[in-house]
Amino acid sequence: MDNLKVSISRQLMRYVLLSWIALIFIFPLIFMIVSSLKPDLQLLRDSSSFRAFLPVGDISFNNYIEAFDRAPIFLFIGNSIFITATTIILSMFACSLAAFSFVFLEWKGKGVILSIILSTLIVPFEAIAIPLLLIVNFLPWVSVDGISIGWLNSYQVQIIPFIADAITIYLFVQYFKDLPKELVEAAHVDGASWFRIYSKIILPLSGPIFATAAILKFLAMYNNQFLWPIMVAQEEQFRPVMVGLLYFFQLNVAWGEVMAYLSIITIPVLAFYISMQKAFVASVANTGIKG
Amino acid sequence: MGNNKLFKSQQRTGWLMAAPATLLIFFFLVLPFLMAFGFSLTNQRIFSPNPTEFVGLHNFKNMLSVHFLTVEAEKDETGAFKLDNNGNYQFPKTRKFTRNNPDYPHLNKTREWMKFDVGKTKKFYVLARDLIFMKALTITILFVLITAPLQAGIALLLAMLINQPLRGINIYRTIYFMPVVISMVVVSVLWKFIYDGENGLLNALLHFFSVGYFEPVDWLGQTDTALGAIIAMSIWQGVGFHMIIWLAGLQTIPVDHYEVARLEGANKWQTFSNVTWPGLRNTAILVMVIITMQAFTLFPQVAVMTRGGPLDSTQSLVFQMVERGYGKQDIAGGSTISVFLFLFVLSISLFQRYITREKIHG
Amino acid sequence: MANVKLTDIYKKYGTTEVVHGVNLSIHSGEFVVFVGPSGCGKSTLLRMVAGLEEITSGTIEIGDEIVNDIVPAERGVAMVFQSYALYPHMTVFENMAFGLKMAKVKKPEIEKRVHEAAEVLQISSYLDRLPKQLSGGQRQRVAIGRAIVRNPKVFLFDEPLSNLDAALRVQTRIEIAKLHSQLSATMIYVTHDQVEAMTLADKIVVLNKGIIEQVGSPIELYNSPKNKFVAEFIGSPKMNIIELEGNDKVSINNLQIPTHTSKIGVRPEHISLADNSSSMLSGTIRHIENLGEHLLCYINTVSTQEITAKIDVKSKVDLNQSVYLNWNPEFSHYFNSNDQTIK
Repeated sequence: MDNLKVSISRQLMRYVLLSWIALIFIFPLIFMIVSSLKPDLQLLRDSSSFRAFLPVGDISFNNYIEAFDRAPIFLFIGNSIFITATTIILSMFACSLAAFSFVFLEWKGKGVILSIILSTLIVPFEAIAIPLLLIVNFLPWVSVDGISIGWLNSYQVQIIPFIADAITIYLFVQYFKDLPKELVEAAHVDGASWFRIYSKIILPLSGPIFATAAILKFLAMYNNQFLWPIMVAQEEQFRPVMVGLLYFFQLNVAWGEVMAYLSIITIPVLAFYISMQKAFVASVANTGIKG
Repeated sequence: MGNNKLFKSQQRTGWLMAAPATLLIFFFLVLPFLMAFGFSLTNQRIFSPNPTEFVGLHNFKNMLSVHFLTVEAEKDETGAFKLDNNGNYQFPKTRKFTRNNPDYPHLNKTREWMKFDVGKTKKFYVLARDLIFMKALTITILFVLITAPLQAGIALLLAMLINQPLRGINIYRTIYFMPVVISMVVVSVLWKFIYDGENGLLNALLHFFSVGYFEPVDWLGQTDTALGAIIAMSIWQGVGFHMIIWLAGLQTIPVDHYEVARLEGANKWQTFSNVTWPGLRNTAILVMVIITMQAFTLFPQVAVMTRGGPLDSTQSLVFQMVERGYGKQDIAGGSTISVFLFLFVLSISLFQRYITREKIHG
Repeated sequence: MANVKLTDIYKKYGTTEVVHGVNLSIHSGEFVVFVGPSGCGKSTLLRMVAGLEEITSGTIEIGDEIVNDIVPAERGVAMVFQSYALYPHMTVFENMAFGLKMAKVKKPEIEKRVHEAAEVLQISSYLDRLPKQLSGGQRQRVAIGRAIVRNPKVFLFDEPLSNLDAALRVQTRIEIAKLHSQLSATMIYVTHDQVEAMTLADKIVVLNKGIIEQVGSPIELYNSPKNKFVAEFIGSPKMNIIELEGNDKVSINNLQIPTHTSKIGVRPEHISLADNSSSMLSGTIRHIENLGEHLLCYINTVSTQEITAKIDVKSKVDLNQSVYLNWNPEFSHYFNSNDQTIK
């Protein structure tokens, strides 16, 4: 009987510890969401007490309505989704195709190219932002209106430079390396062409790594696109969600609306994360193991 | 010699398949990077009436130039030290030496960075020509030195905590990882409010938990707390990521190792140091490398919350890079920092690789 | 079915040469086993025939056609891999049909051929299952079925039984032998296990460090090995080798030893216990293993060389017992100082 008691109280202590830590990680989020429902004055007042976490007082969705007036939120979200989704899809194919050729084919120069690609891991994006800006200023683009020069204020400028990256390629390379080479050889003897082997043998077996790479890419594109869009997407029409934040800091800052906007752009991601948290966690774990 | 026709098709197909990604990386990563190298050797500005000149390593020299100066207290005609009304020694201002002083040409345009007293009659100055860069460099290094081990260590502790077979442990894992999926920009804005000196949530909470003992602090507005505040927030956002990596590493340690330790009567610390830690070696290397590289690119937090202040106490290399290159249109200046950062991080990575290399067992 | 001819085959990886001039003729319908220790080049040769490895120099002909520059799928070969290499995400049917699909064979024809092959191998009831739902032996049969379906000119087997447990190995071995007689197919089979070689082969090719040591039928290799390597490789337990050179203490009586002999070989199964007068070699028993059907005695001879003798299980023998040994002189093998057999 005593043993049981000790172990229960031990367990309880563990839960208490875990819960305190959980609070530390979650309190800003609760604060953000709850605050978004309060008018500014109350928000400021409540944040010096525990009422900051409680949806009490003058609760409404007013801040959200005001936020939609202040900034074209649907446009921004739509832009972000479009840019993120397009980049992810194109990236998965370009990078997995390249990784396939690095792992399964023998060709001169592949060692050099792979080394160069991997060495770009050290280069932070900010380091190349300015020269990249100059480059995209001179690139041509074909559209229904004909050929134009310069990619500023467009979707492609926010998508194309980010399709290929060293991390995605590295993840695919490590995963493909672990697949049994005999599968590829058997497919060869069966008469499959290289592209057939890629599409009919390797791709169907790569579900997990596609999920991992896609999730990491999603986080990078949706969450971290900040500096670059500010630099290249000055027209409102093309701006993504993080840049939209600036709209709420011009002239007077209405913190209620800020919280509302933060909630609008963050809650979907959180919901997505919670529903797929196994996949998210597996993504990072995979990266760790492959590293 | 040989039968190469069969395998020549691999050459063509290989190139073809790798081409899209390779070309993209070349044009949008490698090329701009090479351009940055090029710009760092010029005085290029985005819009400039004057043609661009090649200046070689001039930019680097300027940026990294540091000098030392010892100054003695002022003496009068008799050679004795002059004293002012309060009985203190008097020292000449540094600008005497740094503004067009023909005796000290190398100190021209430098600014005071650090100051030390040597006894009562001498002062020792460290002068830098690009003072803000030096501050950015030291603060970035400080940020890395503090954040990296702290974040890695806390992540490991959390991982070990989560690695228990408790019911509902996954809920906690989900919560600890949550900040990772939130944009650093969002996190910065949110915490800017939390850190606020007057209405900030943090002050309110600390006040409550210290039963009124704690006085509100303007976390982001004071030079001695701003960097710490950013560090704390950065760790809050990022620790979940590395917790998962540690967790994956912990779970690859074979269970029988733990069983052997238990049979041999090892206590918690012994088990950790003899079973857990050795099994985590590779994971540890990975975590440290990632954290270090990430920490060097300190940017969004600074850009959103402090813009380098107060009084340059939260300057960072990348922030300066963007300020100069984009803000001030000084491409050469921005590129110089880029190149420096790249080389610096590269050497650190190589060094890390070196000290963690597999030692050949004799 | 086709014949296969290897002429002056060399294989280099970078600067390392691993196959040094192999010449071999395989007749149509023959079951040929490449056997040898790890690294001898047997798998490399097989893969060169398959088209999975580049041929550094020399030619390979299948059905009198030089195939050096022809892709594997068009050489008319089918291969069974050691790890079966079944496509994990496809059913058994799809696995077997894949090669035919790639060759753009029409659906009804594919159905027919897959079902026929499945019949032969008795896997018809598994056609809808995924490989992970099958046992090792079943997967092996699917792998063989995949090869049969393609109606190849030559079947290639790369250590197909290595991943099976002992009992399954024997069973599958028999099935492969039956398959061979059913299809009268040309088969090239690689293994490191000399028992498989002895039981399956029409012709054995013994390889060592990239060269062919000997080619012959199992009986030929057993009775008349051309050199010490082949003599020791074929037969289990290994043939005893008695060193004569530089060894004054060894004395073999009652045996006429040809000149230039530096080593004598005799198989454990040919040695029997004798009495003093007819003894050829004497020694002390150091270790006895009782295998139920016979005894294995490990005997230290006077010159401390160890001899293994396979004797009747009812023999009265004890540890440390002194024994006399002899054998039928016809079963002696004599090797010169270059380890070649003296006729």
